[in-house]
Order: sequence, then structure tokens, then C-alpha cells
Amino acid sequence: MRNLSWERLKFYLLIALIMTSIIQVGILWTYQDYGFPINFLGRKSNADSKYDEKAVKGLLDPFRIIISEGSGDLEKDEPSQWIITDNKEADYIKFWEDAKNYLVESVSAGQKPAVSEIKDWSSLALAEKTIIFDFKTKINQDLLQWLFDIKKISENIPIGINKIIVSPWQNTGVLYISDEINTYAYSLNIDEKTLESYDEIFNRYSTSENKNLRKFTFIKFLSPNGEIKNFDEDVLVVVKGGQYSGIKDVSWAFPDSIRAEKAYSQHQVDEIANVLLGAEKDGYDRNINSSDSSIEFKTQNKIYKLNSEGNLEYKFLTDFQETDKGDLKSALINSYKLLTRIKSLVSADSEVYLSKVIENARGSYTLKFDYIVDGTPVVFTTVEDNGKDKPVITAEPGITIEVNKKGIISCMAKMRKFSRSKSEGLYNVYFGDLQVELKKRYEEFQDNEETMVKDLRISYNVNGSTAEIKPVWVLDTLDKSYVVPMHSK
Amino acid sequence: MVKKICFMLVFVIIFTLCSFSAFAGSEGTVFDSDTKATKEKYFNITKPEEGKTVFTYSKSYTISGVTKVDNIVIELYRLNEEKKQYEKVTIEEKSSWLIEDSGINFAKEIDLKEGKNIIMLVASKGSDDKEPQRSIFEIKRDKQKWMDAIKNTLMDFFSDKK
Repeated sequence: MRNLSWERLKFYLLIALIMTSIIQVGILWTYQDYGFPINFLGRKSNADSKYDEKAVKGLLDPFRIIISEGSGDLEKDEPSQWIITDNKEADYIKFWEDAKNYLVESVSAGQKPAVSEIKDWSSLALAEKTIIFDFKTKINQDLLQWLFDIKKISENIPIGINKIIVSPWQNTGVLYISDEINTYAYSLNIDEKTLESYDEIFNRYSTSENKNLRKFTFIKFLSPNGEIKNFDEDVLVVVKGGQYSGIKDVSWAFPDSIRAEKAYSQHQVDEIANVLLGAEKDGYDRNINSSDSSIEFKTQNKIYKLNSEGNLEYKFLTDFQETDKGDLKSALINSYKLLTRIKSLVSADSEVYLSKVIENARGSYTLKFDYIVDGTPVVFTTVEDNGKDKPVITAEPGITIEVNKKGIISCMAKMRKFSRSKSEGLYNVYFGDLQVELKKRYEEFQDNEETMVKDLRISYNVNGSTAEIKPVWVLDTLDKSYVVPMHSK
Repeated sequence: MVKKICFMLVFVIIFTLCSFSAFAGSEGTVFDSDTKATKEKYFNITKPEEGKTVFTYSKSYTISGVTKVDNIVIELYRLNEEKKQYEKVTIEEKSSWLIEDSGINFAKEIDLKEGKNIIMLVASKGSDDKEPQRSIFEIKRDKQKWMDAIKNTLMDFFSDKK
């Protein structure tokens, strides 16, 4: 009897050992991404599979919100526009939260929108007091449902969103959504209390004595018949108020966590591995290179390379299939997981925003992210010596990620720590002076009416190794970005 | 010796007096109220429209246009009806603006007084230009926005009744 129970105990012990060894193999297998059928066990043990959905959705927040005055009678009024880019600002949060509610109500309530081919957004914006939401990335229908938690989508809805206008004082309120082809107009029912709160915000902007609150004007307003060449009529420029405007000083440095004078210490490498690789850190081989102060973390099919100049490179060495592409939502979620790790290493006064999405021909997306400090984007530039007085400046993204539903395929990230300052400098923001500088610098704008600027914004320029950051103008055409320095007083 | 000193003194006085008028000259040409507008040869005004009187409620108005040729000096004047003379407008301590290239936008927001504002934009190739471009426009600033609002509401009301 005693012999029997001892045998039984040994049998159970053996079963338990076999089970744990299978789980262990599964976990290790998953680290290597071989796609073994039991990799879900490994995935379950991976804390990274959790993510902050709200934060991922935040990557798709409007790039800017424009508060636009207008009375429908341009002869009698001098409407101004103001831009809010800081998504932590109270006015931004209020307008965006309200617009999301209007959008969900309109799209899911089965309301049939009035569809038109309105392309003249500036006229629409100037017709009444409006709030305009500009997106950097077009939000397609799949993302729309996930982004705004829409349970049921009615028929005849926009195929995507690239711009929204809320016109609160038009009838009982109108919501315009543009999908780049058509404009969809939905009736709203905005209550008196909300209107009063909007009125208070509009009044605050229009009566503000703050000289640094830049007043913008649509190109269309300055040249109703298109006399100003090279600029789309919806582009906002500064002609009102002072020629010089205060812009906060910002500096940058390589993050302390990844800085190494000569070679990385073992402790530093452990810390970096901990943040960058998380629970997987023990599955990677480490290679510390003292000649160029870099570290390499490597498995059979993944390689991370980081140097003390803050450049992070990642490559997935195994081939992927076209069917691995998945949707933009999964690409965003996978990118967000890597961005969170990068942000933990950078830890500074900056956020990142999604600046461009490219759908690659073969099974992946390329997502470009840029840093944003205090609502002002950051642009990385290199100067090309073209043998002329004014060299050409080329803009580069901060973080470029190639990604699909399976994970990250490659990444190039410039890891920089940005610090806000309370001081500010005065810079020439006047449109006429920008035009002069643009013409001097780029041949495309010299007696050529075909090059058309679609967007114009102020950015902080990180150029070379100087810690000082100067603001610049960044002008986007359909296929290129142009950088124009701003002159200080 | 006294003669020489007297001569030098007289010379200095005459020179100083001449300098005053020379500096006065650099303040710009004096335009009286009868000054007529000319063709837009240097500067294409895009706002306001040519020959149109603007009615506005705003305290300021943005004048805008595009240069047609290189190296244009732009000055803005406002008619002083009491003195029957145009007076230079100074914005941010500047009263003339040099624009080196053609095709460049020049826009300035000028403050308006209540009632009639006659504004003249002078575009020239410099102080030696004998035939500068003069563009004159009338901007009327109306104070009683609320009167108009009531009028419009009443008109809307009655037109609905019909």
C-alpha cells in the first residue's frame, strides 16, 4: 500500500515536471518569435501585452484646434483665428471632448447627413464663429469606430476624417466632417449653457491683451482672388499684431539614462535592458562596444542597437508575410508599446505625436512620430551645402517605425530629452518676411506657381549637436517639407 | 582773424539751417486732400477691393496686397480732414517698409477711428521716384453694431411673416 502511494506521488511529480518544462519551452520559444503553436502561453506571461488604450488613441488627437471668428460678412468684420496645439490645455480638452460627443451622436444616431463637395474650408470657417479640428493623419472608418467607441455605425457616413468643423451658432449647431472627397454636415442640438461657455472662450481670445497670443489669418482672407501664389487658401499666416512674437526657449540633451562618456558600464546596460526589453531582457545577448560607445542587444531574429548619441535602431531579422499587415489599429498599438519604452528612457518635458502614416506595398505600415514640446512640434534638420548663401535645410522625423500586426519590423529613433524654459525669445513671425526668406532659400518658390504649400507651422529645430533650439517655420507641400529659419529680434 | 571766425560761424549756421530742411524732406512728400489715386503699377491691392468703400464694425482693418516688382518702398497715410492733408501712419515704430522681391504679400492692420477713414497707400521705387503709385480707399467704421443687429432681426421677422 505504502509502495503504491509512493509510486503515485512520483508519477504526479513527473507530470508536473513535464508540464512546467513545456511551459518553459513555450516561453523561450515565444522570445525567439518562431511562431510555435503554444506561444500564447508566452504572450500571457508578457506584461507588455497590456497597454493604455486611451494613450494609444491620444496619438490620433487633432494636431491643432483652430478657433475661428467669423460673421459671414467679411466686408464688415475683421475675423481672426487662434491656434491651440497643446492637448493638455483646458480649452483644447473641452473642445475636443465636446466634438467627440457630437461626432458619436451624429454618426451612430442614424442621422442622414447633407453631403456636399465643399472644399473651400476657409469660407466655411469664416461664415460663422467655428471651431476647426485639424488631423495630421486621416482617420479611416475602421479606426473611427474604435477611436470613438461607436457601437453602431449608421449608413452614409464619411469614409474617413481629416478635418472637423463645429459651427455652434449656425442654426442649433452644425458638425462638418471632411473625408477629403466630400463634406458631411450633421445637425446638432447644442444647448444654451454650452453656447455660453463657447462664447466665453471666444471672447477671452478676441479681447486678450497677451502679445504672444498670435492672431492668424487665412490666406483666402488676404487675397480673395488667389493673388498670393504658392499658398493654399486654407493656410493660416500671421499678419496682424506685432511683427515679433515671444516663443518659449527650449533646450535638448541626450537622456542621462543612455549617456556614456567612453563605454557603457554594466550597471547602465542592465538599466537600459530593463527598460527597453522588459521581461525579455535575459533572452538577449549583449554586446558592449567601447569604440563607438554603443550597445547591442541581440537574439537570433531581433537586434537593438543604441549609441550614446541617442540613436536607437531596431531590426526584426526574420522575413514577414503580406498577410501579417493587419489594420492600422494593431500597428498603432504595437508602435505605442515601443514608444512607451523609448519615453521611459527619455523622460522629459515632451510628448510624441503621429505625424505621418505610409501604407507600404508589402505587409507593413511606416509610422512617423515627432516630438512635441509645450504644444510646439520639434523638427530634426540637416543642412545641405548647395554652394549658395542660403543652404537647403532638410527635415527628418524624430521616430520612424515600420510595423505590422505581428510587431515592430524596424525602428529608427532619435532619443532626445527636451526641457522647457520660462524665458522666451522674440521672433519675426510676419508672413511677408517668411515669403522673402522662402524665395531666397528654395528654387521651387522662385517664379513657380506650381509648388503649393498646404500647411504651415512653427516648430523647434534640432540641428546638429548644439543644445540651443531655435524656432523655424515648417511648410508642407504634398510631397515635401521645407524649413525656413525665423529671425530673432 | 575775427572776420574768419565770423565767416565760419555764418557758414555753420547756414549749414545747420539747410540740414533741417534736408531732414524734413526725408520725412516724405506732403500729400494734400486733393491727391488723386494712380494705377497699380508696383503693388496689387487685394484687400480692400479697388474703388469700393468698406463698411466695418471693427476697430482695425487689414490692408493687404502683393508686390508686382522688386525693391518697393511702401508707406501708409491717413487723411487728416481738419488739416486737409495726409499724415503718415506709423505701425510698430515703422512708417515705411522696403520689400525686396516681387510676389510678396504686404499686409498691415491699421487702427480705425469712428466714421470715415481715408487711407492712402504709396508704393514707390524710393524717394527719387517722381511717379509713385498712390492707392486711396475709404473705410467707414460704424459704432452701432447693435442697431444693425436689431434692424436685421426685425427685417428677418417681417420677411418670415410674409
